[in-house]
Amino acid sequence: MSAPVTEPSPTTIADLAAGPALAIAAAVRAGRVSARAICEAALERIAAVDPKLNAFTHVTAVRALAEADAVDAARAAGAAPGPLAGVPYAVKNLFDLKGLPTLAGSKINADRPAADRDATLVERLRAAGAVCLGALNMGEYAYDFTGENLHAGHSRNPHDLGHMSGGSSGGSGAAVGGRLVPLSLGSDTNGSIRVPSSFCGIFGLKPTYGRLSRARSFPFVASLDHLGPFARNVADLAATYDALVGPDADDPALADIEALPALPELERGADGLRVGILGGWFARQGTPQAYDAVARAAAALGAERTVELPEVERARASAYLITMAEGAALHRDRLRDRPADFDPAVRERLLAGAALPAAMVVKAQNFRRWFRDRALELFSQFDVLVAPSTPVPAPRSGQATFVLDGREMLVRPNIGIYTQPISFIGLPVAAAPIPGGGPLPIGVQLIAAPWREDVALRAARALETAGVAYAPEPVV
Amino acid sequence: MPGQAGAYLDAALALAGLPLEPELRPRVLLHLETALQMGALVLDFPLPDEAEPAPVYRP
Repeated sequence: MSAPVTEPSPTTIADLAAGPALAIAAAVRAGRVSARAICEAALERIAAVDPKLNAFTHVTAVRALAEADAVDAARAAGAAPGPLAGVPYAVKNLFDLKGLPTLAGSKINADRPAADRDATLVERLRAAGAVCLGALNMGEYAYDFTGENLHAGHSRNPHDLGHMSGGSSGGSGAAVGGRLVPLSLGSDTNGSIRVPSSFCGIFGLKPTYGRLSRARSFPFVASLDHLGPFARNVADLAATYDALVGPDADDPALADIEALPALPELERGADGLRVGILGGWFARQGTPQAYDAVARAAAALGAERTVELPEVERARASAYLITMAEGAALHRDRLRDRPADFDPAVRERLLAGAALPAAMVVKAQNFRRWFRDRALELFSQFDVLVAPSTPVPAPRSGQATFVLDGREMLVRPNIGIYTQPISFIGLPVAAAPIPGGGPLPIGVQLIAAPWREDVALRAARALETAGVAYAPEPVV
Repeated sequence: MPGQAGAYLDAALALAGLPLEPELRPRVLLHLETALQMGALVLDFPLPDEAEPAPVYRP
């Protein structure tokens, strides 16, 4: 039996609840604060601040308090609380949460029956002692880079409420960027973890394709979907990743490849890592703030050589085609039966996808193996490649066009020009915020070889230690 | 070729039984034309017959 908790002052509780996940877990495990007190503080902050951010679509207060009480009861009974004991988190609303219909950012999915079981990754966070505070806003059916949502309202940038959070994991970025919760989960098909990480100034991890179980999450593009965590610092990100990893018979796309626990590796930093800078496509169509962030990260990591991947434009085009075709196939019946209930901005792309000639999509999958082979050749010489996450910091909410390299371009498809070619071949990426270049944050991609999330996270940790990468304070 | 994508789109969606209002059609056509340009870029890349697709099925 463990001694009962004597709660610290409300100020201390509030500070703890807003702080690093691992600090919360340590305090809960040591009995310095109850999981319940942390949960109540988080719920209070969400109630006060989320109306400005619109990160949450559902706050699961009853569930959260029950989970927090269970953590406290387990500790009182002498059981070892998990590595994320009492840590509040929330999940993009494409993850199944028992008792809720899985919206996936849509109006149509509200008519689905409630999920009867949590997504695997949610079950794993629960097993680690973390406490689920709710479901987070996202771009409709994940076909989005802005975080804007016609049905639930736009999620807002925690550094300037007049700017977009990025998407499609908009609520996941805003909630962590705005200190509503220290951890969140999202998904990334062509950039939907890395873009909100960049715009909201936080860390995110898009693991290797097939690394984390997708069981009981609503899909978008089976060939390209990845699930992953967000956090405000690298240790929290690594600890969350470690809690999520593991086999799952319910996900046929999960690869049976052993994962090195990442948290213990962080202290090695960038020691011995060969770091290169991705040029070519990744050094064009951006803005000075994006290139400057890469330069500062590269300098801190001792990267001197710039290298190029061949045929990046074709890689991006291939990912675009596969996305359109598979997305259209997934939604075909809904496009037929519920056309008026879609966001037109999503429906218009899905309809185009429904008309795509098969030969293009087949060729795109063949090209994908060729491009993967070229990337692996680069990774025989380098451990980490640095590239921008986004060409610009967060555009204004509702902004439709921007100017890249002197050309006016549509915001929506072009936010992902740097992320799309990398997720196309499923390479693991740690997204790291590099503030200080402008009033809004921007991030970089730290790209590693397949299955080397530990290396990507070590590079992120090295940038954090150097004071180059950190999550700036929100305005809320 | 200008004009062909429009006829193709109309025929493809009709075949698929997918409704499209006239007001939305120009946007859908724009997306299809973008995609067809990307498709031409990808189809254009020479790969040998022996090139394997990325996804591998294990029964």
